[in-house]
Amino acid sequence: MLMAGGALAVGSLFPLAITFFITVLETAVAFIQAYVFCLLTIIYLNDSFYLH
Amino acid sequence: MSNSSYNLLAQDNVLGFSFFDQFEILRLVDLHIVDNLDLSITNSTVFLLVAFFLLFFLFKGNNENGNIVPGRYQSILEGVYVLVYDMVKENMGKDGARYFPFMLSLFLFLLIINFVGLIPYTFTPTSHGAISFGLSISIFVGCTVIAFSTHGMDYFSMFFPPGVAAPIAGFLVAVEIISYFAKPVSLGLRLAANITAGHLLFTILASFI
Repeated sequence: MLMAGGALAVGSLFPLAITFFITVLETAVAFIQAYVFCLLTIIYLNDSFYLH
Repeated sequence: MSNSSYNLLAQDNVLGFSFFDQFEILRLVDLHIVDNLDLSITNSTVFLLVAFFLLFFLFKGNNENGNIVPGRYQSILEGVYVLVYDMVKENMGKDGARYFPFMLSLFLFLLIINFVGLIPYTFTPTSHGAISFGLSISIFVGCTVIAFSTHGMDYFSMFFPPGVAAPIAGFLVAVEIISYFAKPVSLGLRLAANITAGHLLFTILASFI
């Protein structure tokens, strides 16, 4: 869109803004996925120690 | 993957590249020691090594014994430490203390890989099943070995919850066995799918700019 020039070049600010906010979101996802992986690992470890 | 569906995924878009190019594993140093043993150094290897060295020197960036009043850097390190420590303590209590070093290194390893992968033009090893399933399946095997070494054959009672009526028992055992083997699959798949989806979203959105 940026290459097309004119009104489209101005319109390219819209996907740029979305990409910026998705970057913030993905930073959170990167952290949460590492956290969830560890949380489930410790839950599975706990399950192997204590039978229900 | 069949040839036709692979071509569909690898098809170039209007910009002349595929959205899946970022997940491609490239052999940087070709190492075929034996015929079918591929030990090439790929971009995945490089970024795993980057994560390893960042992990190794992460705690070296601070004063060796720590300052009594933490600075900015030490505060972040203590925050991560306490986060994992609380997680282990809440779920395992005092018995979890021996697994705390493992959990902290696992958490930091995944965190560093995911964060380094967010930098443009880098590669994220966790987006590949080989890494995330490798981690989750080895954790699953480790848990099973620990369980059998502590409980012996009693561990099979886990597949049969107490206080269940006889007619439904056989069905429940099947469900429990399936859910037991679904653990590593869900663990690895969630990580790989989330990271892959995020990185695809990045490239697709960036192609609109």
